[in-house]
Amino acid sequence: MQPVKLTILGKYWDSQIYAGKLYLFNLEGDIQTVRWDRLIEDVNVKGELKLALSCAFTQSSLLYGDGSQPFVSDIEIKEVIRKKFELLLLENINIDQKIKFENLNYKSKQQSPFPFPHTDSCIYGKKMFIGSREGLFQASCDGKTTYAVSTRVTKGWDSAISSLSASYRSLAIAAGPEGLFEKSLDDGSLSFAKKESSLLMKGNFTSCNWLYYSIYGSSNVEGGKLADFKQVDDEDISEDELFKTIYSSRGNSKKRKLNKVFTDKKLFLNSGSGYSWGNQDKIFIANDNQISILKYKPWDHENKFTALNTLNLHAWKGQVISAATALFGTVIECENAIVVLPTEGDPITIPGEPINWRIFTRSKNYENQLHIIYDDRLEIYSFNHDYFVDQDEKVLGIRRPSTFRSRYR
Amino acid sequence: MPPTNDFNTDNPLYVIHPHHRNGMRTKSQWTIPQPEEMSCFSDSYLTIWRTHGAGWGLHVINLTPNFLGISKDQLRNLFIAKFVCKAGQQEWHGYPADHQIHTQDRPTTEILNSWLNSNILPAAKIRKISKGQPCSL
Repeated sequence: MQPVKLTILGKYWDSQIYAGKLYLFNLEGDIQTVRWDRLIEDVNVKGELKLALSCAFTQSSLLYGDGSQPFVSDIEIKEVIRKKFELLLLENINIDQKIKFENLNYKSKQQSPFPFPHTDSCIYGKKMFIGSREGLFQASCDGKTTYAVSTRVTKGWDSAISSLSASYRSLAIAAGPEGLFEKSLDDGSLSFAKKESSLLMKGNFTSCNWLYYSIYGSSNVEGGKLADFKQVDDEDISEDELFKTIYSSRGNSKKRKLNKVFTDKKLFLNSGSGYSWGNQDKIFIANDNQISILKYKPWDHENKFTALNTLNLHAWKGQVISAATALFGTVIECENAIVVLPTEGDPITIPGEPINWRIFTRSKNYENQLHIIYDDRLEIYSFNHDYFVDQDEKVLGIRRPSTFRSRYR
Repeated sequence: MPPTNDFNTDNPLYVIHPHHRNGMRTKSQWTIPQPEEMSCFSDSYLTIWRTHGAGWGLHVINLTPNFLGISKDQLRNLFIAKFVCKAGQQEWHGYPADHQIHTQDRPTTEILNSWLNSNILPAAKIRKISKGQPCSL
């Protein structure tokens, strides 16, 4: 099943989608925040396709949630749902912002209070975090301020940041040649009083992501590394040891401690050098003509890593620049194209060099989306095949999360 | 090439630094001739592409940036020049900047914004430079 595509015309640098709002950073350095759910409601499609449209763009949880499993597993109901998405594919959904956004702006367009252009952004716990050449910045986006993103910006840390990723009430920071850091968000402060104490791994990292409560740092020059954490009891931690706390959605907590750092050369013994990355239960490495995949279970001390497939692929569309893995599949940015390897079906090549791209793997309702920004538009791809795929057996996407989820609310 | 201070503003002195033209693998190396290195500096200086004591330049031919150097490990062609001067002086020298290896070789946000606004580099390249990702022309 091909993805459904929605195009928003305009000149953008970055996009974020969170709690019913679409945040658009345009090339002039402004932030325009749009009521996303209302925008989708207003899209003109036939009545029988409204449900598919909603699942595709505003409520993927309707089909990913635990309660939906009996329905997506039913042979007859599955085919009805599939058919709706296939019909939705035939709709060509373009949004001209001049017409639509005037009525759907959430508060006024604002000048970005952050350095522009920034290197990365993420939203977590109703706060927007921005990484830039000049450091780390934070501002509230809880809807209680005059603008959608508060102009009261807190700055922490003066070093250049390549990438940010938030989970488990912490911020993982890829700081290029300075290494990979983790900063707790519990105390509400952004400052790094002791920079050295937050350093997880030395290396030159351009991207980072969470694998459950562990963190993977990706590198374009030195090879990626996994900071493998383990859950521990309080009595197993000495006073000066680096530990973090995991909070469950039920409010109880556990502690995690850095166990070991694995290089990608150690993880992928027979794969040669390449670009590696990880998310949730999967670790990947891509080199010239193949992708190798590991399954990762940090809690299983006997079988923490299990080799899955090695896929042979056609020649890349240039060098691998970056990659990430979502529920729906793996996204690989090459020099001149983005290649999506879905959990079911053939690879999809999207030609062109993007300004930026993003997936939202920790989102509740937008985890099936891929945002790609080009010179004159934002393309939002919605992948809807994965609802019907066996989550335990699939290889190219992360496993649908279980009920336990560490979230900061 | 003898140093020259024939500029319109502040009469800076530019010196060709031998470490970046000796073929050694300890530093990045210029691959363009010395007169073009000088032109790169003068263009950078006159367009005021400098912040916090460092200047940034591009080797532009027919409105298009071109490669101007090679990384010290000779694995990457480089297209950004960084110019530095001694504190309190106006003596400058420059070198091809390797944005993937050294954070200090990534232009500041202000410079990148200037390049973005002037369309001298596409936004996609600006993003890759700022993140330290591989970037070719």
